[in-house]
Amino acid sequence: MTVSVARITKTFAGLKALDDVSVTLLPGQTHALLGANGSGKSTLSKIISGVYQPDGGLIRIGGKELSALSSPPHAQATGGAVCPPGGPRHYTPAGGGWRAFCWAHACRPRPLRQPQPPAPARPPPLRYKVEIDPKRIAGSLTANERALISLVIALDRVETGIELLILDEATASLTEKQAEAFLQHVQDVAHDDLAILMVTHRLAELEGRVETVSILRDGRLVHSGPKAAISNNEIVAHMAGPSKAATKGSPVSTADIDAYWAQARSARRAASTYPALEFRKMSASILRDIDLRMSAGEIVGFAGLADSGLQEIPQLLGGEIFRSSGDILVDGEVLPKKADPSITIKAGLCVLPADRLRSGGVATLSMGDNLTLPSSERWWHRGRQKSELAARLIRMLDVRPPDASAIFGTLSGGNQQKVILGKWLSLAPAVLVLDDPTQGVDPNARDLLFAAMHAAARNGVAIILLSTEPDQLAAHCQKIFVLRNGRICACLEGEEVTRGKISEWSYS
Amino acid sequence: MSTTSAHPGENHSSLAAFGKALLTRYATVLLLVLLIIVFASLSNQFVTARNLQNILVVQTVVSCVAFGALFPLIVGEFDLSLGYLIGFVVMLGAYLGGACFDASVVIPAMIIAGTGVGFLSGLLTVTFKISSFISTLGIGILLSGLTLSLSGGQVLFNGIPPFVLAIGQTSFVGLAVSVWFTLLIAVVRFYLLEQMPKGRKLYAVGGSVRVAFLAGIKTKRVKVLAFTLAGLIVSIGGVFELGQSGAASAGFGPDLLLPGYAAAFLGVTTYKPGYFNVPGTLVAILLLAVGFNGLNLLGAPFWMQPIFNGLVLIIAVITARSEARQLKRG
Repeated sequence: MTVSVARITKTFAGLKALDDVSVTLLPGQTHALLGANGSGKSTLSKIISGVYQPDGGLIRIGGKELSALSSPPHAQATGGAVCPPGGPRHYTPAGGGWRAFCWAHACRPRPLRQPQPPAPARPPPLRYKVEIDPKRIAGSLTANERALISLVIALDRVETGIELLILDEATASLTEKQAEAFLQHVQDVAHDDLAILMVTHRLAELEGRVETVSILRDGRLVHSGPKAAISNNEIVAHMAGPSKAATKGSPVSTADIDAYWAQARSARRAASTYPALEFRKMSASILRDIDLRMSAGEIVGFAGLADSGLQEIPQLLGGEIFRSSGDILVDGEVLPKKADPSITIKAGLCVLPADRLRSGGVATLSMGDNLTLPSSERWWHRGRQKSELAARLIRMLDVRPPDASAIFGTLSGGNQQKVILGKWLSLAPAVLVLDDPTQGVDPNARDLLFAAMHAAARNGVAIILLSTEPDQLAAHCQKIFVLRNGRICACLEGEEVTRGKISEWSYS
Repeated sequence: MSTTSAHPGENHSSLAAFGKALLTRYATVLLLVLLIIVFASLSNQFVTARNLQNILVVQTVVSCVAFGALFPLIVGEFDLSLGYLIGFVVMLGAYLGGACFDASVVIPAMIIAGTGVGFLSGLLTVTFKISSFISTLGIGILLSGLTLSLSGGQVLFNGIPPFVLAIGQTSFVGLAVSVWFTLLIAVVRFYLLEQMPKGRKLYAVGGSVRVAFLAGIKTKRVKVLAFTLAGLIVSIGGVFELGQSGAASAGFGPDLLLPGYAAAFLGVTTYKPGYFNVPGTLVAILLLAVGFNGLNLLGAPFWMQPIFNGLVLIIAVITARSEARQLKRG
């Protein structure tokens, strides 16, 4: 089925999210929609799936011409049964995941292709090798598991004959290997009538899968053409825009970051002769007998498969789970055994969580309140110091809009991540854990986040980096611990810190 | 899609924007002014010192319930026991007065009892992870039994300490003492919620318990604190009530719960739309009081008041909702 939008405009609160955008999705083809955070990608996919209604323009689905799809069910009823698997932001904790799976079946659209395919012999999750207990409550699923489930829903619906599939940052919470497997599944179940719209920040995923690329910048379509005719560098250049590329030699200016640290130097912790973080025969959950030392200013990566104990590292250091034996020392001080977040933060451990909306920031509070949430105890009342700190952090991380009273929930993904990073940097922690910090973040904001990370490391913060993209670990870490079955199976250093070695040790 | 720059449409239509802000953020204030003008022109009894004084005095007790209810609401909980609690506190005061204790015992006893019950509600809710609807309903019903047992089935009016009566019935600089106290509570609360880290923590816990917990905030403690403060403020309201009426009957209390919550919810539409806040609640209380008083003076039938209150609440909340929707879309 051919789906096209013509001359679509959409305005939110006086700001043009989409301006005169036309895109055509052809049956049997995959169309990639790219752009920086806030460029209008999600708005466009939500217009095609009926979540938003455009202010102007036309939507053509099959043979029909419409000015808007009034709701997601309407989008499905017009024959273009759209299933936005969605990044985690489409799912509230209570309504998402497994329950959504049942929901998707309850209102499965009338099969469009006759005859109906035979009923699947096994429930869809098993067919796609997703091993999550169906009795689990949706709210208890991790971001990664929620993403897997929503992909299973999407795949199942492709098999029952929908003709348009929108993958809106669907793989953002998955590891590269999981993403690879699922995109392969998508290709396997895709049929000649299926048009696929893929929204992603991972350019590597486009290779060999995508026929056409459309790039949005600030709500306008700046490029549309066959994938074969454009290189990844050109794509990034289109996303960033000519003005930025011309004014800035390096991808991001670090002057603001250096200025922040120059001012914050007094607030930094005193140099210590102890390792910033030390595990002594430490066991927790599935982690077993971990021994490691990290010195101040070191950037260390952790890699491993989903069940390797990798996810337990941020949970442990963030005070969500407790160790069962052994010791954890921060700056030479033993961490109490039952260290909840208030204790771990005081000890100097901060965690930037992978699940930004559930664990990262309070969506209903202002940026200023979010930035100063853990440090609020320092002030007797909300005074100049607090607003000055917020302003300094906003300037350092180039948060847009640069307005401390902006509501956190209205910021784009990249800007939300900057606020969460700023929140922890303001405490000058001994150890900062970054759990997949660039998930759903555009390339420019990524560069800035990493620049801020390196600046923090130069100023004595020990960094633990977890990432779903091994390339990131290889590019930024001096040392990488690979976990397998809850134990450290390899410590890669120097020349060994390469993507290939990481995968080799993780998967073997 | 998300906003990447500040409001670009602001300059060319600042007047329209101001008008819109007035309508969405201060619709209740406008309505209040409108009602005052209408009632003042229709009834010559409305703008008299005596009547205005009367409007305010009647509202002090409801205000205390509303201000009390705000704390649990902000942290995302609900305290259903507050109506029963104020009834219990008033009865306790009258009982102790009847037993010949003077104000130095009666007032502290009332406040300690109220605060203690609030603390208990919080503790129950947090430690046993019960829905606050259920735990405070249980506490409330339990309290109504205690109130009955203290009353012995009678209205108690003997031996109310003179100092308590003075708080309820004397004036200071043209306004009743209880009105001054209520204003003081409002100011302290406003400062606490808007200017102090503790207050911001309450809003953070209400916004996302998980994020607040991961940011090192002792979320359980904050919740218990919210219930405790609710008990404290409601028991102060109990002192006002005992002083104003000079008597305690077992049926008093539960009827105040809904007006209190109505004022708190109505307050969400004003000052900081979408958030429970003190100035909005204050305006809401005045609006409901003026409406009641004016309709009374105009000779409206007795059943008009709840109809008026209900309509105002529904309409105001609808306007606030649309504002909140815009905010979320961003």
